[in-house]
Amino acid sequence: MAEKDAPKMDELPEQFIGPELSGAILESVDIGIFVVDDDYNILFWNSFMERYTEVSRTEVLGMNLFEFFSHLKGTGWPENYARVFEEGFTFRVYNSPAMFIPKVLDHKGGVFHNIRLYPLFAKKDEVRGILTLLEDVTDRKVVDDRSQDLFEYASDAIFIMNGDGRFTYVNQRTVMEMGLGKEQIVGKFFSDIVDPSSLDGVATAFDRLLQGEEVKGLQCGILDGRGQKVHLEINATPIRAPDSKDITAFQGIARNVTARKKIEDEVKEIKELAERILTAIPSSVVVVDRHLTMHSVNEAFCRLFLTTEKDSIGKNLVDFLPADFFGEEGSEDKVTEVLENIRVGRTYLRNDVTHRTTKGEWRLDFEFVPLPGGENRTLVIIDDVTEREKLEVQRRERIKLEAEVEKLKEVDEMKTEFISVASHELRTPLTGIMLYLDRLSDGKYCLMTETHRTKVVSVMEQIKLLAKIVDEMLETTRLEAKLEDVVLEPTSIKDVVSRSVMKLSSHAENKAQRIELRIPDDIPKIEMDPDRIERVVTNLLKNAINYSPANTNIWIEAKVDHERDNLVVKVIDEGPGVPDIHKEKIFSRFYVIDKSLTRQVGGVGLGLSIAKGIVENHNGKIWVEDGKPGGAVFIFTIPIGRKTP
Amino acid sequence: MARILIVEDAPFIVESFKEIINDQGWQVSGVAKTGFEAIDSYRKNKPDIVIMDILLPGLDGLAAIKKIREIDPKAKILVVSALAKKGLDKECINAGAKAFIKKPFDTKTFVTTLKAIIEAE
Repeated sequence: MAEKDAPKMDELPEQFIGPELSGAILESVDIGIFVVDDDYNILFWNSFMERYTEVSRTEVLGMNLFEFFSHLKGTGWPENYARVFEEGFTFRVYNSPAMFIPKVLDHKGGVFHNIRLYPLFAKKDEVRGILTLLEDVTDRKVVDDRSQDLFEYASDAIFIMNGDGRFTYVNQRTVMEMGLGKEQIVGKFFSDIVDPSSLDGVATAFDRLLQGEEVKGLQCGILDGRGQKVHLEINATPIRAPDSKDITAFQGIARNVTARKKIEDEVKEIKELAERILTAIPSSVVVVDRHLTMHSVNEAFCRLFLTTEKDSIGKNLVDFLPADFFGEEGSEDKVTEVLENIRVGRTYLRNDVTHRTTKGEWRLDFEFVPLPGGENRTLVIIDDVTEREKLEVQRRERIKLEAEVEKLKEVDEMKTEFISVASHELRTPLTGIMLYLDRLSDGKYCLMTETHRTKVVSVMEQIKLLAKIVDEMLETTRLEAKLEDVVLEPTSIKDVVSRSVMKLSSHAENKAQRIELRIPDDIPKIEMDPDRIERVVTNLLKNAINYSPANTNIWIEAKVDHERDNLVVKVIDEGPGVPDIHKEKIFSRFYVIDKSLTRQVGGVGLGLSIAKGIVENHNGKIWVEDGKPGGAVFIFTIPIGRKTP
Repeated sequence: MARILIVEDAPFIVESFKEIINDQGWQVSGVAKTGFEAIDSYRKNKPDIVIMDILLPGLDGLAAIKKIREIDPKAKILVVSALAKKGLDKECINAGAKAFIKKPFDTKTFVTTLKAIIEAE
C-alpha cells in the first residue's frame, strides 16, 4: 500500500501547516498528528495524541519515538519508518492493530487505526522528517466486522476477486457451493473452477467488468470439489481503488441455480419433446381459444388443410373446417355446439367428416379437448381415418373371402373323398372284367378264332388304360390333399433319370428319337422321394417323346445351383413347344393343348399336374420355357437340405 | 393239392378266382365274405393259402391277417386289394402277408404269385 505521489516538503506549509490556521486546525481535529525528524526525535505532538496516549507534549517532544514508546519495537513500525526515509514514499495502512496503547479508550477486542506516514523533504530526495497521521477507526471496524459477518454467512455466495481474476475473499456459502475449503479457493483463478462450456460467457463478463460495467445474471457453470456441475447465476461489480479510478478488484454474488436450471432444462426438454411429437404424429393438432382462433398448428394440420403455420395462426378454425363438418343443419348450429362443449369443458367428438381438397378426399375424426386450467385453451385433434375405413372394408372382404375359401376347401375334400371311393369302386369290377376277358381270350369259355382273340385283347388293353386313368386320378387327388408324405432319402438324380429313361427307351426307339443325359457323374445325392421324382421325370420324358416328331433329340440335364441351393432338372425337346397362353394351364388337371394329338398318344391330361404336385410336395417349382430353336424346356427344382412341409 | 381260402366280398370276382384255381388243379377250401368268416373258416379248414381282400364288411382284411397269423404263425396269405392307399402293401407284409397284388391284375400275374407262395417254404 505504497504510493509515490506524496506531497513535497516545500509544498506542505501551504497545505497542511499554513502560517495562521495550521496550528488551530492541527489541534482541533480528531486525528492524532505527530512529526519525527530523521533521528526519530519527536518534533510535534498534537492534543489528540496527548489525550489519546496520556502523554503530554512537554514529556515527549525531543524524545526518540521508539525509545520513548518502546512497545513499538518488534511491531514492524521502526522498519516502516526507515523505509519511508529511504524511499521517500507515503505509507498507509488501514485497520491496523493500534500503534499506541490508548489509555482513554476502552475497546473490547482491540483498537484499530488507519495510519499514514508522509515523508517531509528538506530538498529533493532528502527526507528530513515524517508526518504521521493516526485515525482511531475501532468503532468503524466493529461495524465493518459485523457487516463482514453478514457477508460471511449470507445465503448467497459472495466473493471478491482481484484484478487478475484470483479469489481474494469467499464467504461460507461459496465454500459450501464449491465443496472446497476456503484456503483451496482463495488464490485460485476463477477460470480454474469454471466449466469449460461457460468459459466464453465468463470471459465476456470479465471484459465488461474491466470496462467498469456491472454484470447481472451471468449464467455460469462451475465444477465443484467432487467434479459435479453447479449452475450459478452471478451478479458482479468492479471495485475501484479508494482514491483512484482504477479497477483493482471485483465483487460478486452468486446464487446456486442448479435445481432451477435442472427444472428449466427439463421443461425445455419436455417442450421440445412435445414439439417433436406434434411434428411427428400423423394426427393434425391445433390449439384454439374459446373463439376457435388458432394459436398453434402442427405440420400434419398444414399438410391436410393445404396451409402453412404462418397463414393459419390467428385465424379462426371454422374457416378451415370442411363443409361436411357443419352437416345439413347449417354451420351455425354445429359451431355453437362445439363452443358450448368447450365452454363447459366437455370433450366434443365428431367422426367421419369428409374433407375434399384439390389433393384428394379424406375421412376425418375431430376431437375437441378443452385443456384443464388452460385459459380457454382447447386441443383439437384431427385424425385421418381414410385408411382405417379402407382397411375395415378390406378386412370385411377378406373375412368373406376366407369363408368362401373354407367352403371351397370342404367341397374339395368331398371331391377328394369321392374320387378315392370311386377309384376303389371302379377297380373292383375292372378286376373281374380283366380276369374273365383273360380267360375268354384263352378260350376257356368257347372256341376263339384268332380274330376274336385279337379283339378281346384290345378290349383288355382299354381296360388297363382305364385302370391307369383311375390310378392317376387318385394320385392327383392325393397330392392335392397331401394325404401322403413324401419319403425323403439321399438320392442320386442320375440313377432316377437313368431308370426312367430305361423304361421309356423302347418308346423313343420306335420314333427314332435319341435321349441324351447331361448329368455330371459326381452330382451329389439329394434328399428326395426317389419313386415320386422318377414319376416326375417319366411324365416329362413321356410327354417329350409323345409330342415331339420322329427323329429328334431329347436332352435331360441336371445340375446343382449352389447360389439358390437348388437341384435343377431340365427335359429339353425339339417338339412344337408350348404356346405362352398354355404355359401355366398345362399344369392343371385334365388340361391338354391338342385333343386330337392327346387321343393319338393316349394321355388324359394328368401327367403334368401329377408332376407339379410331386415337385411342390418337395417344396420345389416346375415350369416350362421355350427351347432354342422351338421345342419345350420343362424345368423343375428341388431345394437342397430343406424339409418338405 | 393246394387248398385255398378265398376272402372276397365281390361274388363275380370270387367266381373268377374259383375258375382259375380249379384250372390249376388246386382246391378251394372255403369262401369268406367278411374278416370274421375268414378267421372261422381258417380255423375249421386249415387251408394252405389265403387270398385276402382288404376292404371287407366288419373286420377288415388287415385285422384278419393279424388274427390268422396269431392262430397259425405259418399261415400263407396273398393280399389282393383295390385300395390305393400308399404303404398298404408294406403294412400287409408287416402284418404277415406273403405278397400283395393291386387290383386290377391279369390272370398271369395272379397265378404266378400264387404258385410262388405255394412252393415257398
